[in-house]
Amino acid sequence: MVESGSKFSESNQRSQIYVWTFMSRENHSPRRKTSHTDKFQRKIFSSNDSPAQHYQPKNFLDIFRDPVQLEWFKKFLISRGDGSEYMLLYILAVNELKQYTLTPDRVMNIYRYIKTYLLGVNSEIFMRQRHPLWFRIRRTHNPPVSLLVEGQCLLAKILHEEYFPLYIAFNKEGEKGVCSTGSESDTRGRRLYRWTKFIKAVIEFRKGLLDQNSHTCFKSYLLKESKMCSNNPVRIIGDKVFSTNKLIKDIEFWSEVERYKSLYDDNCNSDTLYRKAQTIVECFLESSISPRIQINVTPDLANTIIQDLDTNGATRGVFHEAELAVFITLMIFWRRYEIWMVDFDMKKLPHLPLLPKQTIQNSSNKKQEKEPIIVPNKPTIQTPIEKPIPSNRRQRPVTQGHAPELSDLLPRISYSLASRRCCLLSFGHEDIVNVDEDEKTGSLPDAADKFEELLTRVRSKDHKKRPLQRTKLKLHDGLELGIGVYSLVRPTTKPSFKWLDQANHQDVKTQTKMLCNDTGKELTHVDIKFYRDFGGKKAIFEKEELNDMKQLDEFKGLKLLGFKPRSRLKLLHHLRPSNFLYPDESVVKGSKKLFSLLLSRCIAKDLIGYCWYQGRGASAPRLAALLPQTQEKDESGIQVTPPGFHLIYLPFADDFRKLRYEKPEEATEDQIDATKRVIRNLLFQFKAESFENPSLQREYRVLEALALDKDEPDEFTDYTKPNNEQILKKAGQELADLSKICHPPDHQPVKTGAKRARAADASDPKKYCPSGEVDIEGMVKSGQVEKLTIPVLKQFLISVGKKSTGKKADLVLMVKDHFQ
Amino acid sequence: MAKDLIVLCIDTGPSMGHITAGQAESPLSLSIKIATTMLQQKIFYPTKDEFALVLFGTRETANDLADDDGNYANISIVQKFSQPDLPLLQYLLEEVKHSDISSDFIDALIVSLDLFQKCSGRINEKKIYMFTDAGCPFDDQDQLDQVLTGLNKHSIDLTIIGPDLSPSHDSAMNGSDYHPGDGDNKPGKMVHKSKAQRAGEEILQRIISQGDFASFSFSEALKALTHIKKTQLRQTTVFRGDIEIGPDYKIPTYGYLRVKENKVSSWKKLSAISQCSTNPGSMEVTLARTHHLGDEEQTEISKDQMVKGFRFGKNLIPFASYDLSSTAEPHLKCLQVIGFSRCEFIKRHHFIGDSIVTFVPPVTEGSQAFSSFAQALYEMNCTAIVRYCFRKNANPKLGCLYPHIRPDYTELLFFQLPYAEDIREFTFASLNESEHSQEEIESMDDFLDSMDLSEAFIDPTGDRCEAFEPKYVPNPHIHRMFQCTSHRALNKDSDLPKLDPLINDYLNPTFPGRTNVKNCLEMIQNLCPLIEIGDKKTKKANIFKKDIETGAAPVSEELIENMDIDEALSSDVSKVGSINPVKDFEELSKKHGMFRLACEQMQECIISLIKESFSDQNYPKAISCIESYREVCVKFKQPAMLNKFLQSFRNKIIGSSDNPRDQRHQAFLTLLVKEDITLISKNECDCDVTLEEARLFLQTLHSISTEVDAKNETQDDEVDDLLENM
Repeated sequence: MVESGSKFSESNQRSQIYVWTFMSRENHSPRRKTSHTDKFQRKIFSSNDSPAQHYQPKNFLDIFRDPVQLEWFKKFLISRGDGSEYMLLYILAVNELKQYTLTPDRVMNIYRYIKTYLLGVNSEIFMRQRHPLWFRIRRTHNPPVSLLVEGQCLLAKILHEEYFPLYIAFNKEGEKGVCSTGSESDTRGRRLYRWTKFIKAVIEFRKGLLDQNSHTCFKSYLLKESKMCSNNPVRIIGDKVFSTNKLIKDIEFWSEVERYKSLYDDNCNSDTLYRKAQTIVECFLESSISPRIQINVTPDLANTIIQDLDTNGATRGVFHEAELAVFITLMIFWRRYEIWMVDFDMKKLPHLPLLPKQTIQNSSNKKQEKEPIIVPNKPTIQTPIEKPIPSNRRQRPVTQGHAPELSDLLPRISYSLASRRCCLLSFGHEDIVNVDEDEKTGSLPDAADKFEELLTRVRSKDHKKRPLQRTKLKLHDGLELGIGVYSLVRPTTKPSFKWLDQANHQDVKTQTKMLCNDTGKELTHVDIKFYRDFGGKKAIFEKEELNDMKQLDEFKGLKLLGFKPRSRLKLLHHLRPSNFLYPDESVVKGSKKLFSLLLSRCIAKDLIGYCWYQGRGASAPRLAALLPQTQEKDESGIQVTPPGFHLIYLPFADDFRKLRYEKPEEATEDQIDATKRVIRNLLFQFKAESFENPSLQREYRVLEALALDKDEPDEFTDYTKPNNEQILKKAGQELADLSKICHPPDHQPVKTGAKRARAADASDPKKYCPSGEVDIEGMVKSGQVEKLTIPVLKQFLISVGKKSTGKKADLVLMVKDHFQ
Repeated sequence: MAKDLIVLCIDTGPSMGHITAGQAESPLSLSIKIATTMLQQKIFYPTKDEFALVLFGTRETANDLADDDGNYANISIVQKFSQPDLPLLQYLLEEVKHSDISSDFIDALIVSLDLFQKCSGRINEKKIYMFTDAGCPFDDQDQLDQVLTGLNKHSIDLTIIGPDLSPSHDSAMNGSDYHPGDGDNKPGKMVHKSKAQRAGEEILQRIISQGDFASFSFSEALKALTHIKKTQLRQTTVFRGDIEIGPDYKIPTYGYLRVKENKVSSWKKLSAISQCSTNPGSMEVTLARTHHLGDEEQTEISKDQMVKGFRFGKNLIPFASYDLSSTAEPHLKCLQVIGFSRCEFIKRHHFIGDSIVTFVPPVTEGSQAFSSFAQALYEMNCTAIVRYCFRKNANPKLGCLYPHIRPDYTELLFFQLPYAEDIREFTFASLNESEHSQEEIESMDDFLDSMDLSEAFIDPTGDRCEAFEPKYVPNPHIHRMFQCTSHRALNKDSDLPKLDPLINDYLNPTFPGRTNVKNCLEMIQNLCPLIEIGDKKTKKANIFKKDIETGAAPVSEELIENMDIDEALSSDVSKVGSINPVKDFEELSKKHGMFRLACEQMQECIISLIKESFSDQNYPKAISCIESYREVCVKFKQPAMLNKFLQSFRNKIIGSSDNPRDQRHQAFLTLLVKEDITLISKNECDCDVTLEEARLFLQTLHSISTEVDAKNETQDDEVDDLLENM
């Protein structure tokens, strides 16, 4: 199986990206909420009554029809903190989709929302329902409306059956408004905690910006930050690329937009509003001074806003997207600012005069003053390459030909998850959540329970479940089953590489030509035959004949020979990693039933099958044993071992090596008992999943460090190294006893061939004559100095205080020089 | 590397050419067959071994010992020690003919012995294979002792192939027809033994018994050579070091490869152009590999200007080897015990390496530590989990040491185990292994019993023994390669030979004992019908192929426009899905033997459509499903399927309880009445439901639905009132 590429996860980035996903979700919903609340608050105020007391909705539909109730219900769901509000949001989104008057953009947006609901962190609420529909929607790109509507029905049912009674009960308790604390389970509590923590941070940030003092301090902090990296203004955090030089403008823009919104809320007349909006655009989004866009938003977004303003006039949310965009970057720096504030005393701040409250006009004047901002207008492909790399690092630019945008890179680090359970929680990765017909084990894992596992990711290659081959298992003539051959264990190889040019990291194409030695002609594949030397002559074959030699049987696939008791499968019967067989209905219909019958009876009778396996293409037949395995599930209903046959490849007569060795001395009872005590103390339950491949992990980490420009690769604990401390703690005494009893011969380390040879060299008297005994001078005169060995020459040179490096000829020359 | 020296000493005397009654081939041709097979196998797996060929009973005399007195006459050394090659093989096959002159086999032995005098180099073993039927005369028995001392002095191993010298020889002499080891068991063969032969055999018997040598009959020898065997490699260690438990306790050990796939050297490329030319040279092919940049000029660059780029996400990261070596600490050579685990935690299918390494103590003295370790593991049914690094900076392997204790040796077998990265956790659907009828179980058990292999093989002595024991199964591919290569080398331009029947016997074995299998098969086929689905690719390809063949009109544009890809792909319906249930159902029910299944699935589908409906959203779909279901039932004359379903319909949808939540789908019943869907009655199809009953059903449904409607209406009124109040 060829994987397109290996994917790593990255632990430090993990938390950050998590936060980002969290934030971006947060950034979708609040907007919806604010716009709704605004509308509905007015309604509520006009009716002067709490909707809960107004009347009792009879079912969910009632709530759905009534905007007031709907809003309350939504608030109620949000307060539950279990993501159930997303069900409602989904229903609303689909409802909107059903209108035919939507612009294509809007439709795309809605699809995006739906994807977010279904694939995002909140997807667990959907997946928990274990309804095949969700998996289907997830899998299809732009699912048809009918499918989405089906999902809507399903959700409505759940909301009605599960949440509606709760909602009614909640209202009956007489609590007005929505209480934000709930006594949910631990997981819910934790989620809620994260939520509240996040929201608190946002509120604090908003408060801080609105406060004159902290606003100024923050601004000066940003100024410092942008000065600090003025030669390297482009920063990447999460999935955002931004310029630090624009930070100051960002905060100005933000406060202007806030002001604009308060103007709007104060029912200011539309002319003033439009003028205000126009000024904001002129100052920040379409500035006459380079760069055109003064804040950290994409040109696309800027254009959209400008257009929006032109067509729709000054609406309240016209700057919303841009505000969000800058908000995120500002939020990051706000956090840093907070830390910085703690670290450095306020007094150490360089004294900054309180800036007068700027009007938009003079802020635009100011721009002209601090002009030396050279920032590329667009985050173009070149940006990361132009980005200077800190001098202490070797320059390692990312290749140009391969989407060098580092900004692309970070969010795309695919977190592949060690465990299937995590897969269901992973977001943004449709491929992982892929529940096929083949995979319905009857119960899907409860994703919500496994929330913690989200954090236990490992760096590992992600493998798609795909049969190596779909073929047939011939039980007997006329009885052929369809099966898929899978690979469940296979040594993971080191990541594949491509050759690149050292200078500018371009792709290097490798051409292989076959040349005829006799004629010098270039040969094509047709001109090639194959031979094998046989007693001095060449036995020549065509390519097809070679294949024929392997195809010894017309039947391709597995041909059953018969059954043997399981005990006949010996330890020595191992040749290569095994495969796994599972019935495939797409080859032969009805295979599953017969396969399962065969499997269950083989297990019951403790039999293994023997078969010939001729794989795909021109592979030679192999003898293999079919080892039955029954399905096992763990306590939470997750399949641990799948049902099917393991295909154990068997060695042939020639594959066994005939070895001769002596029988060792027999051990005494005492010795065996002592060894047993050691073993007993060092017993553990082996689990293959608990050991990571040290050399592979090392390579991954180095690669990752290079890619992300880290100074050091991440630390890695090699669990395959025995923990000697622990061993001594557990069995130190027993081991000491054992070595007393067993008298293992004094540990002369077993010498390897090379070492022995060297040792022999050293002890060779001919080559090791001390210089004192050799008359070097005499030898030089008689011209025999070449006969001396290097050590002798070196020793002599050292004794006369000369340099003793180089080849033998050099040494000889130096010795000769000495005497001349 | 040490070599073996082998003398093939073949009798070409008159008796060798004599075909005894009941035998297909003469002793000489059998001898040649055996000798050539030996040579071919040596040639196929090239070794340093050298062969010499001595013929005795030839017209010519060509040996160093011969003198004018007629000593050592008629013995010719065809080939002195040299590596076997094709000319020697061809000589054996074509030139060696029997003559009418006999020569003394003891003289021949002496000539052969003499050959060993002149060889040099490191010699591993010296062997003489003598092929004779002992039919030649011999005169001086005095030389016999000389021969024996000579053989012993040079420690030469003598094997005599031909005469029947087995211990039961005496009984054979007494007229018994039993010849063990001779598979043919032809009665009366011994009768033809001449006096000289008997005397010769006696002498040979003496040599064998005195020198502790071996002898085989021709058929035994042929049988022993049927499987090509790789010449044993010298036993070399792959690891010398200590098993370390904790920092201080060390058990010295040597590691050897125990099982590893035997691979023959790969094929070499040859230029067909050169071969076709009138004067073919070496015909060799060289590979010229060049590296080019992707620019317009296709600039060639050298290897040292290149650097490896590794994928990270979709980017390629240039990665020079020094990047890794500079940071990494080396993996030291080791065999360290991490801990111990019970055998049951180690899954057989997790053995991952491509070889088994065995560890044994290097010397016998002081190996108690080793044997106590192995013994303790064995008695506790445990394995040692180890980290194994066979040399410095090799990739460390995780594995386990299994004790393997036999009467004459004790070893620890190392199996590599997977790392976390190597395990792919795929989920496979349950197979409902427990849901099989008694009948199915019984027929499968019968099948398993009749396919037994543990006693399926009948050996020549008539005993039953295990078939396909890996130890004795030859690799068919290598055997076939050997067969083809030697055939092609000897017969240029011939086709590939037919598959060796011996290999065919392995690939397509026939077990005479299996008589019951046919019956079991039929039973199983009936119980678990299998429908083969043709290869989709070929099916699609055939659509066009057929047109071409039959010369049908080209596909009209209209047809192409109307062609629905989905339809073309979805022709294999296996389940009634909720997207397009009517179509699925109709497709499925048409298939042979699937009607019942289709019905069951349709029922499920209808119920779930209604139950999952959000208000009345799914009702029209459900109605159309029921209509289609009804139609098909009438068509297949299975009215009971629908009637039963409809009768239990109300309960299924609404449930017997008065839970108000379940009441909401009563509206569907109204719809059902409105659509005038009734039970299938006598008039439509053969069944015992009268028209009246069918109508009655409708009425009951109606009454229920109206009742519910009334209830709903009052509720609606209330809502309206409330809304007005707002």
